[in-house]
Amino acid sequence: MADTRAPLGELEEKLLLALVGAGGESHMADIYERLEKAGRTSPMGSIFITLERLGEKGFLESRIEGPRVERGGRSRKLYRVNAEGQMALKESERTRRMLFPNMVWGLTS
Amino acid sequence: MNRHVERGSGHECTADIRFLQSLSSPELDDFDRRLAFVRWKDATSRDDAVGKPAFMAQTGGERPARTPARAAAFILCLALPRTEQDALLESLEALFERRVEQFGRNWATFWYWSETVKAIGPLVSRKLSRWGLFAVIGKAVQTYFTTR
Repeated sequence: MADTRAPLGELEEKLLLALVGAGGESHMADIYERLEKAGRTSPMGSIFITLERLGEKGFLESRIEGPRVERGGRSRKLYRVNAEGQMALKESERTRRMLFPNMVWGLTS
Repeated sequence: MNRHVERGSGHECTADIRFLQSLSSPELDDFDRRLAFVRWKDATSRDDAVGKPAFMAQTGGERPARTPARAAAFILCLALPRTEQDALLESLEALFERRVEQFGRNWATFWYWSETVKAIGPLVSRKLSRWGLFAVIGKAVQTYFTTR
């Protein structure tokens, strides 16, 4: 069972949000492009390692597709946020709200 | 068996490594061995009339526009465990292809190399940290038995 109260790193949180935003299974190229569109790009190596670490923490599920014709028979790895990952995101948001409850008001006034 | 491996896709170095690994690895089943053989054969096949690898003969000696740098892919192969090579390289190549379409081959190649260089540090340090953990455990076991 993953410890959903364990604090998420910045890139970990971004990746979980990108995966939740994708609304299902995504592979790394899609995640990279989502981050890029949001102006928060990170190197692919870092994304890969962070995704693996999130998997080890129990926040992600992954599966490997069969060999693909397009790129020399390579297999894609698809990632999906599980219930623990979503709980960790909620916990992260709750912590942020506790630290700065008037954040929205402060920014708009 | 997947016989539709893309010819001239620039995976010659990884194909060689995988083929050699597949010969000795007891984990692989027959399907994996056959797949590795097909990849290796496709990647290293030569056009007899021209005496060059098939993909070079087809394109007049030029590497196809959508093939990432072989050396960069080879370096990444060295830094990654075999089970994780496909996941990262496939995604990098997918992005490389999109960048070739958007910005051209030169910029895409530069991007691929820059991603490779940025990935080397974290990948190697991750590998070393895993080995380091084993070394600490080994040292602890050794100390336990030598001080008994």
